[in-house]
Amino acid sequence: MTNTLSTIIAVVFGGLGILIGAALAILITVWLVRKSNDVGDSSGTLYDFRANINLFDDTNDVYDFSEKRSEEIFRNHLKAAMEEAALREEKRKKNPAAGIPKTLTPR
Amino acid sequence: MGTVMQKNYRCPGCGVTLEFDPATQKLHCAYCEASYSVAEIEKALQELAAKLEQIGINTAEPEKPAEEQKEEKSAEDMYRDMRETMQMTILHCNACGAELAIDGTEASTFCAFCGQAAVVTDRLEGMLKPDYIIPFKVTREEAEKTIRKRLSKGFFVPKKVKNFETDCLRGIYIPYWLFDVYYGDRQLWRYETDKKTFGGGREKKTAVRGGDCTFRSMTLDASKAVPDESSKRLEPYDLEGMVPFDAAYLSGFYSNKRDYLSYQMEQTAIRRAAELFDEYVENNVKSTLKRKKPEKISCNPIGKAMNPRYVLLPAWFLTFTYDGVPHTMLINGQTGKMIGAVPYVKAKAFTLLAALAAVFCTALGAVGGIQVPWLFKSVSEIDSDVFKALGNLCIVGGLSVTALWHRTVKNYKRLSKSCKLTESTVTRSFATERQDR
Repeated sequence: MTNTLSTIIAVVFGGLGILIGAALAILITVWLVRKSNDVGDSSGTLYDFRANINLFDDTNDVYDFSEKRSEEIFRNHLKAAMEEAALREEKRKKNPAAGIPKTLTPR
Repeated sequence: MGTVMQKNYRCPGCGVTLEFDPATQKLHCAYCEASYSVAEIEKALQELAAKLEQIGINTAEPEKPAEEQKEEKSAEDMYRDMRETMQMTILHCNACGAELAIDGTEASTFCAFCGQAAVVTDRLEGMLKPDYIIPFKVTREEAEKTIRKRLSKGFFVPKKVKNFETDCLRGIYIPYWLFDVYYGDRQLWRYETDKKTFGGGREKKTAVRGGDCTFRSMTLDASKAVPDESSKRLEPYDLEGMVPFDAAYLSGFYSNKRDYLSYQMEQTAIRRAAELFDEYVENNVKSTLKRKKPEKISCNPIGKAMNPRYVLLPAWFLTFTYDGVPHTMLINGQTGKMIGAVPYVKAKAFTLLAALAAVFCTALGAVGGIQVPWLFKSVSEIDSDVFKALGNLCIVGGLSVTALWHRTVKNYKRLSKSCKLTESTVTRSFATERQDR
């Protein structure tokens, strides 16, 4: 390899290395400052709801996916959820402490 | 406007106003040191009223005239709610007779002259009565200690902030709505496969993600005065600690009544459910399809907010001034979770940055400038393979810089957002513009 080419490679990759080094240094500094001075999470959290999600999926081509079927699923779930909410409300009226979720864990 | 009614929970032994003590979860008399549970004090007050009635003294609140009752019922009217929020009300302290000025939403306060706690019962009755309350568990001392301890640990926290002088520290019950939100959606996602098409592009496929979820007891801030971002960051509250509402829990703390009716918050609840659901589905799509940027092409959401409950949740607001700018740190009054951000010492940050930059730039510059040419030193001529290898290395390096920079910007934005919220004049006014003790 010629000297000129070797110098070009050294300059390009040396510069790239310096750039990565600088970016890394800035990231670590900002992260440390945030860790030191920012307390609590900035986005806000809700309890872990993921256990309540029912997800159905199809990764293949789904042009023939039955809209009617999924519509039906939603309607049934909504009906069940509304019935459950009404039941919980009734229970709560009888016993005010009822209807509170049992486990709440930060996300 | 009708007369504003206030109530004081007095010690059955000595008559001094009782205040709720988070440490014992009982009402405490500062004068005779007696403590009573909320149930005990309600019972004692009833017994006392019965005894007084026997000797001919009527302690019951005078019944309001029919017209006034009618007016009270129409208090649920949104217009009046809004109007009341704008007005200041003058109360007369039951103990010393001094005038107390409260704004249209405050539901409990203190007398500025004798320090007596007063609960504005008008604002906690009928439809305005909260269903539940989470009583304060973190005491005033614990709240201040938590903030001092955490700030003193921070390497970049200025010395003046570490030894801050408290301008004001107030325990305030914030009104919230709790909803059970049912949310479902059917989404179509377009993604590219690895298979190439005749046109030179990649084959596109469509995936479907559908699902539903019931978000139980989703909390939504029902006060206009507290920025939603701040109240959101106080979460999560442990809702198992909720108890049926009793005004006695407010004695010794500030509180506000709700500004929004439940139906006004329903769409906000559904929107929040949608955000959480969409985030979950997007992560699922990215992880299962192993594609970085799948595109959502259609959705069919359905949402319903049900079972609204009006609750009061506790929070401590601590305000201090640094460099002429007031900062308000918040503490969840139940779990002790602290939120807020303070300015950093720029000299320390830049020194650290210079040191880290010197180390990383030297090391990585040497790797790039010495190691890479050394790897290619045996190559006699640049052919297409060598050129490709060098190009790939350049791309990897460029992508690394972009990724690092992207993360830095994200972190910096979060820090600035937190600092802005801590310096927010709205939060400060909410905490400070109240009757002092």
